Amino acid sequence: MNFIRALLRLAVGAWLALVLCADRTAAASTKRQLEQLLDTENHTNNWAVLVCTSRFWFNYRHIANTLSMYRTVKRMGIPDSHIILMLADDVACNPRNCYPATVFDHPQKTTDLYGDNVEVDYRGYDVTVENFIRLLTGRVEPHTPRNKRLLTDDKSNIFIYMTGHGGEDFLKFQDSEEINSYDIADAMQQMWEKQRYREILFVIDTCQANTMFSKFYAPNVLSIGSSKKGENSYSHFHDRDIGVSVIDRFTYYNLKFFESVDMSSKHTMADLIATYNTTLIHSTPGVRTDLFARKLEKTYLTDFFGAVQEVELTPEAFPIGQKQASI
Amino acid sequence: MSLVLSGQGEKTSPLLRAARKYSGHLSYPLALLGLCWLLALPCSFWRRAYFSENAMLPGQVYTTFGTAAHMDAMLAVDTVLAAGADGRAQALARAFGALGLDTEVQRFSYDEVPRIGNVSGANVHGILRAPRGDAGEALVVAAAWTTGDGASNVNGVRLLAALAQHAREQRYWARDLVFVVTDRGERGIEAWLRAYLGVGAAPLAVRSGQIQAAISVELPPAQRYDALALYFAGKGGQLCNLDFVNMVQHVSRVERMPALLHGLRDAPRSAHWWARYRQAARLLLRQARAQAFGADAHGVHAPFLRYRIDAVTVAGQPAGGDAAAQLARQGLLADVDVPPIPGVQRIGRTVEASLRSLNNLLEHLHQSFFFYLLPANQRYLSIGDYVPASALMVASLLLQAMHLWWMQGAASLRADAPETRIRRINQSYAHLRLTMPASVQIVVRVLALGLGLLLAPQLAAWAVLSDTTTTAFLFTAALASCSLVLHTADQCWAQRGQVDWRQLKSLAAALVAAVVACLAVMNFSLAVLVYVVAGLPLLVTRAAAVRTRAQRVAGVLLLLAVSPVCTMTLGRNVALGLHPLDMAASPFRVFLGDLHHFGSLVYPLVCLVYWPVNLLSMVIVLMP
Repeated sequence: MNFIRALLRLAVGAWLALVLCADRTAAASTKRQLEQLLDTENHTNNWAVLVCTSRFWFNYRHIANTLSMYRTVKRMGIPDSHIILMLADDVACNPRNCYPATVFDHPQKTTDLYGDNVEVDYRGYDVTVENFIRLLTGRVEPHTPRNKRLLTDDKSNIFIYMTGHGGEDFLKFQDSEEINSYDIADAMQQMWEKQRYREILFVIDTCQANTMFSKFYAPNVLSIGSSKKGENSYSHFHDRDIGVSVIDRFTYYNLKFFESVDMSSKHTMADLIATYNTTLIHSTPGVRTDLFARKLEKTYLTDFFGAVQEVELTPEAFPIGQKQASI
Repeated sequence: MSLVLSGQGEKTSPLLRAARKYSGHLSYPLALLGLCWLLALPCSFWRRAYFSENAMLPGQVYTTFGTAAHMDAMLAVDTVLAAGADGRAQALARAFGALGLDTEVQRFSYDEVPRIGNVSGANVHGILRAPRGDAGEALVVAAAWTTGDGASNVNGVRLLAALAQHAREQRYWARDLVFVVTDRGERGIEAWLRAYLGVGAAPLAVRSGQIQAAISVELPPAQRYDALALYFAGKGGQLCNLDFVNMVQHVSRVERMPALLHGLRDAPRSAHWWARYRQAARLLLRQARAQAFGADAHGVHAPFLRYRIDAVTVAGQPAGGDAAAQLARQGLLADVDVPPIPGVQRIGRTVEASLRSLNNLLEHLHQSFFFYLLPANQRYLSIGDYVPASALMVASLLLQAMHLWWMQGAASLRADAPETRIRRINQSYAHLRLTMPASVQIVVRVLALGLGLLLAPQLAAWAVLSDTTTTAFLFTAALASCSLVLHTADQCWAQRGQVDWRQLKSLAAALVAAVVACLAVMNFSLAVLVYVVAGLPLLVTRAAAVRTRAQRVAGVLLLLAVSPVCTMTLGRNVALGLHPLDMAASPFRVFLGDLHHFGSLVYPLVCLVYWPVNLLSMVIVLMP
């Protein structure tokens, strides 16, 4: 009798252990599956921050630069909800504009950049150094609307584009203040510490642009600038109807490359950088890759410019809603 | 006092003693150096002109002036001419109204003297409201019915009408455009400006915002223009911003009718250095004349500059020997017979492109220089290049003043022995007690004469001051001055121990130095002129000892030769840019008129500095 009782206890014990182990392994495999799902190698969302730091009529080309980039980024698939566009926005409806409510980047005026569906998030005097740094670091006021926040997470790839008048280690914001390269470097480090990005592509088109990213120290930042220290960046087309220069050389040649790129393209950053021609651009573009983990030949343009989503297929169906999974 | 005591100090070094003894001699080389610096300015090491204001974008846009509609708009002015001199203001207002402008006729009159006359006239202005602008600012395009030397400026008014028609077809104006036509030249524009800005006169009813800049158009009758001429100095020597001048020159060159400064072409680079020097000197002297006197009337831009509104005149330069131009100058060409504007497309496009560049700006022109000299087209001399000349001139006068102050009194006051120091201090103090009142009294007397000269004509109404009455007044003042000098000299000889000519000369030199130094940064040409006519003669007065009567008489005669009456009479055609055969115009009256109408400082300077210092120099020569 005692032997049978002991055997029964042993059996119950073994069964319980088996059940519990199986449960735990099931939970572990579920957890592992979830972790596998969420812990992809790649980014899961794309953001773009496009900043034009100039105002006034004679800086038409900076607005045109930024709006051309905006159009490109949208064409490649990033939606307005993931684009922060900062413009002084005083050009399209400027009384001096003899084509009112339009912004062109080519004398042939084939594409109106300002036509339909432009969503400017920071306009006019809101484009300030303080707002830019608050945007990047996420330290915005509590009442800031959603479209003015950079709602990125640790799997976001961010494309930051800046244009305007600059100099050695500084960028002029709207004629009354300046941001310097240390400010942006510190903001990016804050972003890294707060896990607000996975990778950043920083492109800048100003005079002496390469100095702006010389002080970066946060990891996973790829920087491209239009001219080196002591060099100016030049404008490209001059439109004699409107009376201003309408695009800058560096941005123009970038856009020209992007005309051959679409959402499904397999072009890499190395391809883009290989097309830079100092004679055509009239200045020496610079690239900084020491903070960037991946090779340029393996970095697709669509990593930054597109909204290609990673699709992960699991071998089994994942039980949604049946049991509270212990994640 | 310390200057006196320091001479008697025990510790004067040999260097200081030598400096005191010979510093008077240094003042002559310094003055010479200052004049040589001026003579070196026309040498060809000038800087190239450049644009400081990036927002202007000059000449970078297609110009569209010149269609048939614009040319037809000029016919409206022909119908206005038919209304005659009295009715043309109203007729022009109607014509502007037909073009779509908000118009007003301003009739002004002041200095009314019954049965003699007054200053009166009519200004017509029309405002083109910017279709999308916010009316905060305005640009002015102005013309007078007559040119500065009396010819008809009907072509200028015609161009204004055409420009108004062109402007109202455009969409890109950020500012209102104001088209002004006056029939009293610069005085009419001054009255209009005062009314527009609400200064004194009855304000205008139809107005726009702040005037940012103004362009005046002067097109004398001619069959062909050689080139355009550009004028940019105000009545008080104010200059317009150099960016504006450079911009108009640039856009006119783009339209292949270059606007030359004061109408003078540069000597070619292949020419001999002396030809180049002469041409640059000619241009610099023209500018000096315009800046110092402001009497070189071309166009109506000058009154704007006093109110800090940058303004230039674009004037057509008739080809030499042009028949129509010669007839017009003699007053023999009726308004209706004036030939059509030669090169109207190019001139109109120049003005259009200038207005477009001004339209691009957001702020008043402030980036470039306000103090400059232009020795050639597209070259400039900044203030640092020419102001050291006046600094040297002032230094020469100051050195002379210090030296003479040290040298006043008996020679025993300047002995070196330290044991007599206290006695010497007391003696020099006693000397000052004795002589200063006399010197101050002489200075006060001549200044009182100058003050009378300044204030008396202002008490009389302007209409009363004709050329003959002013000449008579001047003659009386000259007689009074002569008698004052002789009487003062007599008194000095009577009180021989109480006057010291060195002290008086020192005070006078200090006065002139102060005036020239302050004036040099405001109106450089006028400062140099004051130095040359008042300071230099004072500097050389009694430089050599005068012992005999003949020497004194010779000195006084030389000083008479540089007295205001003499220089103004002999130099008036050159100085005022008058016609060589014009003998009737009185420079005195011109300067008084400028003071009365425009607040120009030339007449007060003549009365309170030039004339008194000249009299003081004469007294110094005649003193014991």
